[in-house]
Amino acid sequence: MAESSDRIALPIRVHDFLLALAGRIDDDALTDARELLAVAELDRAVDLLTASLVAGRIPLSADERDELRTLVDAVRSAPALVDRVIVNDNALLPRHRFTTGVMDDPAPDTGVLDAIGRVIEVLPDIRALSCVWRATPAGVPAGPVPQRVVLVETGPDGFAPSTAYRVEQSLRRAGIRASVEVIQAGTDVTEYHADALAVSRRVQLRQVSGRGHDANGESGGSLFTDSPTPRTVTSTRRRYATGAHAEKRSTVDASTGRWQPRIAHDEATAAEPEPDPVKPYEAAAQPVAEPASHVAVAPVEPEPAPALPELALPEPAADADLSSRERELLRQLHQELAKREGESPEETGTNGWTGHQRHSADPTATSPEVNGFPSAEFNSGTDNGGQFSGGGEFNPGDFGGPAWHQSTTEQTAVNGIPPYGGAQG
Amino acid sequence: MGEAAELACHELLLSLAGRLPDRQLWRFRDWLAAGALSELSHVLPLTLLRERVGLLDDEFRLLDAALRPHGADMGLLSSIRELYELPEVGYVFHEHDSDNVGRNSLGDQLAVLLAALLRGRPAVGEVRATWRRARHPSGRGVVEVRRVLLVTATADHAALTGELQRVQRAVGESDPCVEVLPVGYVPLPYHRAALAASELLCVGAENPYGQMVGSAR
Repeated sequence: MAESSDRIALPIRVHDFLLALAGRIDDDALTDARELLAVAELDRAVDLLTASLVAGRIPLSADERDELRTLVDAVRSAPALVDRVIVNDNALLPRHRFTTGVMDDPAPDTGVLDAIGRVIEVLPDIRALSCVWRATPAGVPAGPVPQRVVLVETGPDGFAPSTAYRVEQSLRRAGIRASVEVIQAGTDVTEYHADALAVSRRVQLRQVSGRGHDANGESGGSLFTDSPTPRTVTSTRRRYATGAHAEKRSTVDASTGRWQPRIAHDEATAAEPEPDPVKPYEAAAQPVAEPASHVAVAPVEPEPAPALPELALPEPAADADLSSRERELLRQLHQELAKREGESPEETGTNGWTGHQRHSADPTATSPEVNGFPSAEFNSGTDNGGQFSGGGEFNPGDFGGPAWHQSTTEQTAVNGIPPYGGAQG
Repeated sequence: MGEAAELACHELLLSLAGRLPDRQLWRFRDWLAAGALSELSHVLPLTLLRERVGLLDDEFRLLDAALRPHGADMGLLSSIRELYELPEVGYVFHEHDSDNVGRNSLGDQLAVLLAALLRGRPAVGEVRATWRRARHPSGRGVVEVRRVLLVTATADHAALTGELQRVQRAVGESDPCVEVLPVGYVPLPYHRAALAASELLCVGAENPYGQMVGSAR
């Protein structure tokens, strides 16, 4: 276990520890610690964290305290300070409520893309972005509520501490106060983050030139799905397990995108919670003339203003309802795929979706659809000229996948220019 | 020892107003209010060193009285550079927010809240507010105008500071500036300038004469 921990870079371990404390210490302490982490002042980041825990009388589990002690040792800070942290494995953890807005509140993603468009253009491997309001205070010197929470998913080439810092700085410069939580694809998420994601508004990162947000198709497993029926979630936090924490980074397959267990029960549910699952596909099939010379970001198509339940407690019926939603999803998938089967290659070609042409031309490609849901893995070669590499392969952009994949293929058709990388062979 | 160290630390943090970033200063004051002197003893000297903040002789004495009993590293304390005079106050103060017509302290929501909390309260003297802006704005971005609360008190200075900071944070001021001045405290130029441009919000139980105790020469 210790060996696993040792293989993880120290900044990442501190970052993960900060993630585990989200919602328990105040947002400003988290933000400041992340800034210190990003500017390579790890000792000050850990000191700030430790002192905030002591001063706020915020209890940790024994495992968490042990991890903190390890971090304090690693940055050569004063180990005696950790002794003053309250340890209580049975302490009640804070409950949080998330919402996309109540009454006249602005949408949580208002202004976010404008503020961070430039920075996400240069940061590596940003996969997805979601925004949500947290209606409950966090930490002891709590700030005002509602607090905007911006959730960012990075791929294996991303660097979470830098991303958190740079995105937060950009938001702050734009006058937007937010907690920025950056989670690497494929890692477990806390209940706090899972609950935030379950309610959050997905912001669509649209790739035009192919640079920057190339997720190699792996983000098909992203849990940054468009939020299901917006609702308020109240959560309690899971405890931080040092061992599990250490292991997850060393063994995880980043391509699996396990980062919302609630939704990612299986492949079907991972693609699921679209109120109208046909919509993304239809949107993708529409030719859109946009400049292809730069990476652009665009907000998701505005959702209808969520009719929020009155800060409802978690809906026990939601999970029970899942199977019927899955059935509905599968039904719509069948319809959609049948519709595509009926399309002529020429018709598909007018959309410029070369993947569709190949798909339609290859009879074997339809075989997974017998089950109502394609089972083959997405091939990263989709970005390479928008080609599928083999029969039966599935483009997550076809259905419920990241919209920028769709945009890339659209742009190829509309502008007659192969996506970035495609021309390079 | 405990109370003396706490008061010394409180005065030290008072003297650092306008010299340390608000974002750090309010948190240190919050830690002091929570009794986290051991943590402050570790973090504050490091911060002074990293931020290149020097101290006057009197401030060194406060630092020594406040932090050494709680384990401050003497090596770190020795590295803090000494000042022979304070630098120019980097801010100017106004009774009203000059950038926002009608934005006054008296009569806004925070004033109502403070009056509810502090009017007639034991150990509290005057409660004043002023608006602060940078003397030499950096030229980039919006010039930040921030409200500074000035409160005189005869006891529980650190706790009162912590309480008022938390109240301000809860209503939206992320980096609150709360200066609780002990009776008899000789204000430094920062506080003198702030007091001179302040507006009285309410009075506690300890100041029947309507005079700012801290402003006594």
